[in-house]
Amino acid sequence: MIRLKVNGQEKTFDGDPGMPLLWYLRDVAGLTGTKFGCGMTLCGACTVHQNGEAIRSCGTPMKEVAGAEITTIEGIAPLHPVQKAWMEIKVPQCGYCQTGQIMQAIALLKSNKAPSDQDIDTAMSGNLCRCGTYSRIRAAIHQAAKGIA
Amino acid sequence: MRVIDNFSRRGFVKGAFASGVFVVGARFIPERLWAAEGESAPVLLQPSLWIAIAPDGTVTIVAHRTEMGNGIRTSLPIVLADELGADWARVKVDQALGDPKYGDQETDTSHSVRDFFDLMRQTGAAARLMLIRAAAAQWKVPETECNTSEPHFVVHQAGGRKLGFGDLAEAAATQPVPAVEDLKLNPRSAWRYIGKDNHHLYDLPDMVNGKVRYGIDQKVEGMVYAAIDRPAVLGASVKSHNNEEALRVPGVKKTVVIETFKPPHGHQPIGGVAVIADNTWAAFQGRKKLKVVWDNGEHLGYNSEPFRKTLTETARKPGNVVRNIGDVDAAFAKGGKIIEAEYYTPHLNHAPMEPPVAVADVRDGKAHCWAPTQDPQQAQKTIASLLGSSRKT
Repeated sequence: MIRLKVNGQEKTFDGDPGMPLLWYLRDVAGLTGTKFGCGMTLCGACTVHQNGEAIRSCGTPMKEVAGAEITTIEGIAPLHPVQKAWMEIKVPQCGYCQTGQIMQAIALLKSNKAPSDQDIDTAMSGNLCRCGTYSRIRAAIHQAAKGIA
Repeated sequence: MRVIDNFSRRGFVKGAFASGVFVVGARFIPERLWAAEGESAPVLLQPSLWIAIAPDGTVTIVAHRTEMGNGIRTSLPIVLADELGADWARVKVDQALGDPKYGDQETDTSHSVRDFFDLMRQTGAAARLMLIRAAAAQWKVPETECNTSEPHFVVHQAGGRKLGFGDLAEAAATQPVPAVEDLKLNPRSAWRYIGKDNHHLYDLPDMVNGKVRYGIDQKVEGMVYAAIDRPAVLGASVKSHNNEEALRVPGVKKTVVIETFKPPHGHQPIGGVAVIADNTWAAFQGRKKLKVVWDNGEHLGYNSEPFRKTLTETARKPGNVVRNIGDVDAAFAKGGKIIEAEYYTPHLNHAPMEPPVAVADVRDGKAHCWAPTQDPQQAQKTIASLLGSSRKT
């Protein structure tokens, strides 16, 4: 039996401990805001927070999150400064990768309150966007940094 | 061929439109398709509903094309909203089901706005004129003195009066539908939204909250999940498969061989072996454990290099003229600086980040399907033929 917290709620899981957190979140917990992109930790669409740090949920088996606090996009307070900036800059196009992008950006701004372009590119390099919204993502992170500061 | 009609009092107005007291639709065939059918009178399609106004002022506009990052769920409805004089913040967009009444819904080759821009404007303008006439009748003033200078209101400046769209919906529904020739479209200078950067994608708030529902997010009570081991070669078929180990994966229920299509491929499934399980992860694990022996068929030796040569040679031969504007030969004959270039792209996967998926709920002789598809009607036809049933939306 694995115990964990998801968006502040106590959860238990007694299925395959090797099941990636992504599929627990989507298929078992019904939290579909976290996306399946590649399933190989290559695209970042599945990014969530484990104890506040960005992780790829598709490559994190349930046994590794025992006792952890997991936060998904659904657990982010309504209109977090990053989401607000995403709205203002009108970042998304198809939108599919964007919840992963936002989760990664929130984690970045926790550790770096005023990231440079270089910091942003480094921190966000594992989050792919097939529509190519990268320049707006960068602008939105700068804008969100001002909102958080 | 466009006939705008008032559907406010017809019994068949259902779903998102049931709450609208004022419902305007249009019979429509895109000119592109009309031309393809020649000069003979085209068969009138069923009317499609485009817009409804509820007593609380909520305007519902149908998006009948496929959204895939192209923005069409916003761009066409906002054209109608603009012409109507609506406040975009009070517009709800309703995604149309696949239905022939909308004409060809295949969303490709970037022609959705070109094909439907005029229709959206005319439908919006017809509804606006009916709202204006309803207000003018109530105030007993000439309709020419009324306008929609304030979004979502009909305004009579001289009398200092205004009425909201919601308040006028019921009366507007009793107005006769104006002829297309009587419609006065807003001049470009009066456009509020079209071509302006003052609005965002309709789905933007849901996109940043993770609430937009993509194909993969569809859930049906008690659903199972399938992962398909597909052939590496187009047209290959399953010679045999061993599912013993796959079935030992906890959560895996069974495996199903999917027949390979009979050429031409068209929209048919490419075949393979599906592993059906309680959850996606179990299905993925089961798929890895499958042992499939493939009959790779005639395309095993396919080489893209000779095909490229064929393409290059074909491109230099005369072809079917799709569009011909001006006299190209005469223009080149004039001389001047001529830049020549040849472009080639290799075989490419669209590779969207959103995975292609489908969910089907088949019961009581009916199939309800959800899928991210550019061509919902073709999907219906394919599903119907595979299930051996007739297609009905």
